[in-house]
Amino acid sequence: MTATRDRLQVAAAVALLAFALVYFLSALPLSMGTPGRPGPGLVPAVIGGLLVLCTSAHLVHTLRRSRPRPAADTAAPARRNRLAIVGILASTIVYPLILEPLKFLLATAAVAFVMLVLLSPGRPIFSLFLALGMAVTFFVVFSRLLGVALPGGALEHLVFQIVR
Amino acid sequence: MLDIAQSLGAGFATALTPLYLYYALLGTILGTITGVLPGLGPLGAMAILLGFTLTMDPTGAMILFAGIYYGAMYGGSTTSILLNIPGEAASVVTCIDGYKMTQKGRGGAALTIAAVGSFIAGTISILGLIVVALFLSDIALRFGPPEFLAIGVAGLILLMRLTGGPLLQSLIMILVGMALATVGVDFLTGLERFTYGIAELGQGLEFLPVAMGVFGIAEVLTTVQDRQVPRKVGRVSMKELLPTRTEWKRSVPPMLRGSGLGFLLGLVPGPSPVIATFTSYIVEKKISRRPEEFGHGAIEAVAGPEAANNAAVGGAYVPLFALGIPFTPAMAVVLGALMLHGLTPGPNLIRAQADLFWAVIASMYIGNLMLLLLNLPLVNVFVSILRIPRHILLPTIVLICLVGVYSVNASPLDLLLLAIFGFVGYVLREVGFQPAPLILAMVIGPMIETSLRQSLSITGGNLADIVFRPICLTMYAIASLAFVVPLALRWFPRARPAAPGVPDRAADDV
Repeated sequence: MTATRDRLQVAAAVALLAFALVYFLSALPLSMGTPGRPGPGLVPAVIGGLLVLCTSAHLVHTLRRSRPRPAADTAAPARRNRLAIVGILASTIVYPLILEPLKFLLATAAVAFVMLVLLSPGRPIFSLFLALGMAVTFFVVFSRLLGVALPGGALEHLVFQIVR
Repeated sequence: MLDIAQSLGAGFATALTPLYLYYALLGTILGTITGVLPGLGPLGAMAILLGFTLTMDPTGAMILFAGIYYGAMYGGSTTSILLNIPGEAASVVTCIDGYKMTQKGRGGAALTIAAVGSFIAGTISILGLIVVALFLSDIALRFGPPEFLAIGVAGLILLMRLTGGPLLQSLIMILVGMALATVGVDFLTGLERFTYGIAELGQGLEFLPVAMGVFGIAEVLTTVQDRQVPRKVGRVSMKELLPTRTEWKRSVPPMLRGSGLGFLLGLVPGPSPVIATFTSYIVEKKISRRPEEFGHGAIEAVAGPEAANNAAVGGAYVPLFALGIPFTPAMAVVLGALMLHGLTPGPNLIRAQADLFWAVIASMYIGNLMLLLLNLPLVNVFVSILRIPRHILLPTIVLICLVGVYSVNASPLDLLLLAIFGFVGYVLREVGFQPAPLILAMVIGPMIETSLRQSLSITGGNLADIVFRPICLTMYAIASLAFVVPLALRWFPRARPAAPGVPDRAADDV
């Protein structure tokens, strides 16, 4: 396990514990009811309590496992495309924000272009045309063939007229 | 008996209509592609396509999913045998001897045996599904909340034990899934829980963005960081597909054994198709007259496991149709699809939605036949899918997820949830968690909570009345054994049987 992986393990264990604590504390104000008439807070409180216990144990276990590593281990070459991962995640977050203003074709082409460039850098022109092609294909397949209602403007109307 | 025959006949009449034939064909093709592509399992494909099934009627959606599930089992064997690449976890075992057969020039014969074995297993498991599901649903109609609570709890505990990863991690995933399922308005009191003032969360967390995020987006992110190894994709001629008479003779008994074993293991919670293939391999090796050939291209080691993984698919449908409880993550997605269509899963489903049940059963058989007839002649076409560059395939999957989620509610919050759960799923995989139990718990969680609260209300809070019932006691005993036996085996390591382990990502794939 590399130092980076160790840090990720610890960060994930801390995040899980934080989630458990927030959930448990949010469950406590809910009514627990009585044994014969259980309230809406009973099951969440039990789940939250167990979750706090389990995630605490997991954090302790993770901290025990992650000990300082020799320099050679931490310097091991990582075959990762972090930029692409961050880019794809960012694209999924940005997509709902640009979908309404840019409408389907432009928003989808923009997101596809970013992902294509990140995964295959060095061919931006090819990626641009491919992204446009993907957006049009998706629009035709999902809007025309599957009947999905997608946000549309003048461009979408034009494509709709062409493929009709 | 006559009723069953008549119902099945009506099911075939429905399933043979052009629209349902199209869905069955589409499902089998998509499933085969899914099976061929390493990383994207049937579960991921079902999750990705969940949104689009809303444009279909429930029967069409179920037919499509059944085709994907069966198709993935067929497709996975193709790349396992020809390229030593298991397209999905249930085909890992097939790599061992299937690829050795390819190296000896018998890859085509192995493909045919795998396809025929899968067809026979599919047929047997469909018959088993009809008999067991009808029998079980009759009994389940007499179940009360305590019985459903016991089945749900036992199911989750067995799943926790069988998914492979560390026990604590599986438990955390189940609890997180159950916690997520409590978000929204409480169905008994109408009170809001964990909505934090966000009105859209009142309806609860949508299953679709969570499932597509955890399995679709997360799968893409995981694949991005793996180094792409260029693959040399060869061709198989039609002549090579014919097995010899000896190969047929040696394959039929393992196919039948694998079918029976696979169906029975399919009834057990967890990644049953994967467990079925490993168990079948062990059984065939144990009883073989030529155990020394295993690992060097034994045809029995292809026939048995390939039949077992297909039969397990039929078995996995039994608890879903008979009890309304999914025992595998893929069945959780199928259940999610049923609920998205407004259907109430449970023991009454088979009667209330008889048309759907029998049409799906009939379509399973038709789908299996389609796979047998199409996959062998088209084997080279499906293998060539591996030539699609990753930098085109991955953005395509992301776009399908985005459009799929948007198409359901046109909700930006759903798209945000997709991104959040995509990231969560990716990190969980990175740190060694299997997200499949999370999804399953999210689906079963509400049923467990309802059953528990109803049970407590019925019995006036008396726990003994809830536990000490024949079915409940049996379920809790099975769950306790599932907990205790592995611990005992750890304390007495000599008692542990020597068996190949289930792959780490098995539960994710099926």
